[in-house]
Amino acid sequence: MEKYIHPFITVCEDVFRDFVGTKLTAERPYISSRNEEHEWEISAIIGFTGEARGAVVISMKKEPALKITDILTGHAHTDIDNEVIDATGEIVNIIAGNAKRGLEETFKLIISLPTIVRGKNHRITWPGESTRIIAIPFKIFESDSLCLSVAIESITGA
Amino acid sequence: MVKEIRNILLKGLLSGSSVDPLVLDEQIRRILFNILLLSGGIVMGPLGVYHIYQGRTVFGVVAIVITAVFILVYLLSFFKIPFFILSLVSLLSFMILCGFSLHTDFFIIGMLLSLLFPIVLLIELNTKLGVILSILMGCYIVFARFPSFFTPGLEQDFHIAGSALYIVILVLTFFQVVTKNYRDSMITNINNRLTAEHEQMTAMKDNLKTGIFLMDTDCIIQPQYSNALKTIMGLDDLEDSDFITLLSSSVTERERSALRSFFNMVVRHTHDASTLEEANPLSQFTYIHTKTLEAKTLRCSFSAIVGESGATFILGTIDDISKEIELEQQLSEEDAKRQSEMNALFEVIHVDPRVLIDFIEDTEYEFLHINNTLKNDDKATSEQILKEISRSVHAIKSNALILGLNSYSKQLHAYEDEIKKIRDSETEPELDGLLHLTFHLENLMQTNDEFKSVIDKISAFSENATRKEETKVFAELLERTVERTAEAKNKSVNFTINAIDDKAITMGPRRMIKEILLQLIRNAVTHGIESPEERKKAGKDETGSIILSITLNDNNIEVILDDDGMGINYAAVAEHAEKLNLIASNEKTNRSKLLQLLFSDTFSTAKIVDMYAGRGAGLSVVKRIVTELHGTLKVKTKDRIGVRWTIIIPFELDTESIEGSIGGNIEGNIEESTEVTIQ
Repeated sequence: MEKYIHPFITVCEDVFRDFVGTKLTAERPYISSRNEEHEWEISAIIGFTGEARGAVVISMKKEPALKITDILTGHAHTDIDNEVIDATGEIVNIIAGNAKRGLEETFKLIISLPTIVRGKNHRITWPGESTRIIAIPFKIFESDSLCLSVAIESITGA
Repeated sequence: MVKEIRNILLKGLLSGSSVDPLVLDEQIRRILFNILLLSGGIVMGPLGVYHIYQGRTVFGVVAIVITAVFILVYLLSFFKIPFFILSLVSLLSFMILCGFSLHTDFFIIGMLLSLLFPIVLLIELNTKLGVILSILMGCYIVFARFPSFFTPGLEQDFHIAGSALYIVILVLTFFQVVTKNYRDSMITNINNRLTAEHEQMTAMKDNLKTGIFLMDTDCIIQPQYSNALKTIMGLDDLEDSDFITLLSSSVTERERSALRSFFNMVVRHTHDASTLEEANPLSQFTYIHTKTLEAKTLRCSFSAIVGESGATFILGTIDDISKEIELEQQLSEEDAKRQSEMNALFEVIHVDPRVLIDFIEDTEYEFLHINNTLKNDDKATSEQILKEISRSVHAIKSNALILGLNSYSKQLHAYEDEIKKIRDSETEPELDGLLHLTFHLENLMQTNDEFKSVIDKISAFSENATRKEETKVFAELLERTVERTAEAKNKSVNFTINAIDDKAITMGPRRMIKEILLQLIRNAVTHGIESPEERKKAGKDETGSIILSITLNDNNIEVILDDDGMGINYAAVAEHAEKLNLIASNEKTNRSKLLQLLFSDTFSTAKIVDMYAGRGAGLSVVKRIVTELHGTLKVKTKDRIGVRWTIIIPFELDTESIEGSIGGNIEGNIEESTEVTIQ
């Protein structure tokens, strides 16, 4: 399943570097359980179908989302408003778009448009049952964090 | 300049069209026709004027009219008027001129002009009409002034000779034209057939999926090859290239020379097709494009053919079988996977459900531990984390081996190898490596999930799978450990449990004690107990013995493990440590130092890393656990007599609190907790 994830990691790093002008530093990946509590406040979900099925979720807390919006719009934000949703949505759109190009060319995959979910303690019901969720945390803006979570199961030959 | 003039002239003679080699025949006819028209016009115009001037008005007028017709026809020929009509009109007027001349005083001129008639007619008109008109003309020549045949004089001579000549010219021209027409139609037929064949061949060649080509005996590719060859080889122009050079990235220099000898063999016709096929080094090979380095799997076959001229060529066919091979691989991988899943399931079925539940729980605990290590230990270095993970994996593997879950052990062993590879590399582990480990871990967890689902199904049938007989399961597991390890090491060992305190196991740190004992027992069987032959030589019973007692006294759990093996082999330890540069040469007899080394992370005296021993994790795990449990460990060893391990662990620590502290300090000092007694 790794092969599906590598493009996402690279694309995330590239997009944040080119569009937001900040460096993402990947930290140790781990396995996260399906109903684990988390503190993310905004998540973008990108669905997968084709030879593998599942989803990639990019989650972050309020602060990095606000900072990203500040950088993109040029003025300060204090709370998650529509502009913040739009800005983060746009970044995720670019990520999904770039990843789509690489993935759909190489694999028999179809990638959905990203959906943005916001709210404290929101929960994501992951598709599939057997696979666990692999979380790849990234450090952003030095002290904030962003998390790329993935649950993909191969359905070829099944 | 000359060229331009030539072009203008040609254009004029071709009635405005330009030279086209495809209709050369027709164009030559047209040029001839136009030359005749023009020359006729040029000659007859002035002639007509001259005759009028001389008073022969009728002939002069006829000549001028015909000249006008010729010039008109020439001018009309620049428009799209069918050639046939133009030639018919001009020839008929020519015929009228001849007939008129023959009938008048210009008999001789008419005769001479008439001789030209069949040639022009048959060339310019189609054969049938030409013959009819020529015969008509011939009759006219003979009969127009029939009496002159019998009137001697110049006219008679001309009449007879002219008529004879006319017939000869007519016959000759006729045969010439018929032969030419026949030849033309034959050539057209052949041409049509060849074109059709060529079209079919090209269609086949271009649409064939197989690359087909001819090489001469020097392996130079000939001009005719199928389009697929270009696609397969990824090259545009293959003509005249050396086939073997094209493979320079795909095969080594030596293989290339082997290939040349193979082609020689093909050319010499000394072997039959099946032998050649067997000897073919390219029957299936990986082709690497010389520039893009793209790899493909190709299948080639070669045979010699002898051309009509006697030259020998090698006919080669190439198929791209990358997709087939990929599919085959996928299939065999899936097959292997299914097979291993089946094996794993069979193995699971053979394990006592109670023991298996115990194993699954332990495994889940370790996995949780690994994941917590990955997730939480922000401050720990990667090295520490990897060490921690490999300890956990090692523990799971040991358990799996004891239960005979060989497939799972192999998976875990491979995982250990992977961790080791990352640990061994000098640089800080990359995200890729860690990500791979995480995904791999997820795989291992899935296997454990499968075990769980199997056990769920089994326990639906059997009610025995309860946790009540924990101590029994515990003892069984240890017995099994001895059994399996002894079997793997070709040793004969008798395992006795003198005492086992139920409370110590059910309420104490069962998992920890188990892990310690698993390591020590395996160590005892692997390193302590000698092979039956050696034991016999040493005057011992062929069957070695290991005795365990676990007792609870004064709020301490006391674990004593005895074996009657060879004792700790300090000489071997010293030698090995020296090889690893772990000790100075003057420390070689310092037993306490050597003992410390035994407990270090990377020390193992086993020569080969196998599933049972060799990674050097065993005793260091024991040390870590004892340290974590705030216990003490004593080892007493006597040469050729055996080893006694005594471990004392405070009882008040229950499992829960241990679990809480396990992610903490993993460094311990052996001397704090280990007393060494050497007799």
